[in-house]
Amino acid sequence: MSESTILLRNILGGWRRSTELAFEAAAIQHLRQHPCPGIPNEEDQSLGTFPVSVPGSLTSLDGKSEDYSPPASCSYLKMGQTFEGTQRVSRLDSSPDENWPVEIRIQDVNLEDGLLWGSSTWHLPNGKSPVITAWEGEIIDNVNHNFVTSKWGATQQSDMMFWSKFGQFGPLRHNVLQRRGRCGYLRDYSHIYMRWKEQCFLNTGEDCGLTIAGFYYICMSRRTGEVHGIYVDPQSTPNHHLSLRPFTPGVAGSQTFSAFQYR
Amino acid sequence: MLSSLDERDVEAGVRALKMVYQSPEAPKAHRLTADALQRLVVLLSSDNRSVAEVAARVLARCCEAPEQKAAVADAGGLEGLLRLMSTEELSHREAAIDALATLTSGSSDISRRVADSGHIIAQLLPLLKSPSAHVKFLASCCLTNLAPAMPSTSGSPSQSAEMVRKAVLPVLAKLLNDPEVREQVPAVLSQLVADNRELQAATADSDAISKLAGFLRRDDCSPRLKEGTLRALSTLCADREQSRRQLLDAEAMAPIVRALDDPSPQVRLAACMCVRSLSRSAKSLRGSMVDHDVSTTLFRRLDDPDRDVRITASATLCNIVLDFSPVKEAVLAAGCIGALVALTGSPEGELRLNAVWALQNLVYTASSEVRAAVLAAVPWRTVVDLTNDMQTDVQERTLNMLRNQCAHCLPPEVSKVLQWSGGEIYALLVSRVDLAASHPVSHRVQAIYTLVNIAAAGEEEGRDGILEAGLAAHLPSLLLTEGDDLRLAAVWAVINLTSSGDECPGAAKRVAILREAGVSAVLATLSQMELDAEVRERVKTAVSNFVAHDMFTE
Repeated sequence: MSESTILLRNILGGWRRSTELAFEAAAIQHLRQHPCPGIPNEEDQSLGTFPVSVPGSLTSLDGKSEDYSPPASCSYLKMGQTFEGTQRVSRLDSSPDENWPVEIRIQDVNLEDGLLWGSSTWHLPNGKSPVITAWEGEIIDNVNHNFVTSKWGATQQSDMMFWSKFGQFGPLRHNVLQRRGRCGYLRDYSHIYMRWKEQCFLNTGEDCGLTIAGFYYICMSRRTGEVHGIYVDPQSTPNHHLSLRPFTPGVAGSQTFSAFQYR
Repeated sequence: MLSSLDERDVEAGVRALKMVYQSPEAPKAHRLTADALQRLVVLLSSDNRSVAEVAARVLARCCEAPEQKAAVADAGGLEGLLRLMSTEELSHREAAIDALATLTSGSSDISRRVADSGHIIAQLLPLLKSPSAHVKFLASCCLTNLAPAMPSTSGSPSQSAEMVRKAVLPVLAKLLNDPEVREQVPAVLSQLVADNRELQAATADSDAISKLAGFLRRDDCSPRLKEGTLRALSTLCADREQSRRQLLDAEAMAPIVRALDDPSPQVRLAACMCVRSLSRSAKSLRGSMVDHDVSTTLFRRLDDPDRDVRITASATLCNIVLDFSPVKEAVLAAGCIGALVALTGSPEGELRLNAVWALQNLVYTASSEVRAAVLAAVPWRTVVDLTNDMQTDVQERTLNMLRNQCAHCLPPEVSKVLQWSGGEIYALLVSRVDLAASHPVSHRVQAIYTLVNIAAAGEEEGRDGILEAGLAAHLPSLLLTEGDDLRLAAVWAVINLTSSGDECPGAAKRVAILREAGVSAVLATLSQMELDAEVRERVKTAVSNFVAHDMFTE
């Protein structure tokens, strides 16, 4: 692999330093042309803005009976959980996609504050030693965080566009639009939504060939623990697609559970 | 002189006492006798109000010990002071709240007696707006002491403990700027917001954290201010990530780490507490703790001459050794494991708890080298003793350490643990999950998850060993126990014991044993019940494991 390929995010970083609006337009265009494979995708719907009235929505709109409890705990969303998988990196030209192997570990989960911390070990195609990054995550829990990102260059429109790339988001979509980002019935929902944002490099400097300027929209299956993510960096398109599955070095289907407590 | 019949003698005597106690060299060791305290209490009701005022001032300075406070209260001192509070003269009232602040400090009994009596809260609240910083401070002290003792069914909502605390907080935050009282403010602030997340957040919003951090950075920070400030910061950062970030952003880490080596044991203790609060976060563990060589200094404090410093330092190490902390390497290099294992034999329960807690956190998602080093350093006998420790917390952390030893690792590492125990680990764990024995639920959960881990990460030997030790007989009742933690752990035990694949040829046999014990029937019952989403999902998986075996055998 050429060095320039690895430096994809950096290169593309210079490609577009335009207004948010232009970014959105480009991103929307890109996603329409390249729906995310590996992520079950519903029929493309028109992009919503807030607030908007959605006649015929399936959910009750009185807001009184709706349950805004945070997602119930999940065996895969826990401290010590390890995942392995790849990040598929597409390029703007017609050269083939690359798959970067990655291992991710959740180090700590704080459900009360809707936060989690983890590290990612990236095996970049340059064959050099892995790059380890530390990230922080926000769980969409209606209490601490909702579907509206409100930072990192995201807009309500781009938020809706990217969340909608996860097929299982479909049934929630209207509700999220109505509630300005909040959404009832997440407690038992089949999927758990998060945002992960890399904070720093743990074993290398900034010039390792990976930028961490963007962030991930994350969708985790409660049943299987599989994770899909879309890496979005307003400064560099196209987006990258992360897919992970829980990893235990034992019998398939088995899980180990470790635990620590702060003192 | 206080007992003299001549009023002038009495006044001279009490004024002399006031002078003595005002001096920084006041004889702390010399305590007034109960008789002298009683005389002072009588003087509180003197017709000569200035004598009463001076008597209150003396009481404010000479009643640090609990028995002195009790003596004053029993002699009617509280009533005398409350009467003095009702006078018009501000200086009299100031003297009265000075004494009340001292008497109520650290005494829930006296605080309750004061809070129950008349209109004291209503008299104190307006003093928070006094032009005098000193009066404001003393009123804040009294209200902070009285708030926890206030009757919960107070008539007026403006006088609920919560409202009182909310009224005091901004006053104290502002007093941090006042040179006259500043030195004493942080300690009271710390007391006010302890155990109250809402007030802690409000304090952080008032930029108190950067102010406090500013004190620490100053060269002229007195030991008293330093101690109070470190304590306040440790309270504010104990459970709140945002406050930790604020403190670290205020560049306070260097002076905090320096304070770990302060000549005053109280300052060293407060610094240990502060580092402990800061280290309760994945983010600071991989950032600030590394940049400031906290671990080496902290490790030294394990041998501190002061007992409380040793205990708090060992508690802080529990966080520092976590796997995502790069500091861990330094701690290990400093011989941490040996020191911790030695502490597990300490006669002090707190030290034993911290030592085993640190070992538990140390092996959490640790490398195989670290796991092996812990196995080599801790004899299995020690583990058995710790699981029978008179302190139940020590037992639980020991079980959690075993759990972590068997998680996220390769089969040979699990085999090492089994060998290390001489095969005793199965019986030890299965006896813990036995519902007929009176173990706390949290211990059962730790024990089951250890078995879950052995079943997932170990070889067939481990999975068969678990059933030979008799787990199957306990599973139906565990699965039917109310409480999601225990039930979920039990379901995972079933899943891991029944998962099939090339590496587990014995799965069919285990399925048969579990079915015989009634596990599949209980799972069928559970799948009909209203359960938590997570448990429901895992029950489905467990049932499907049984079904898969049925299909295979048919």
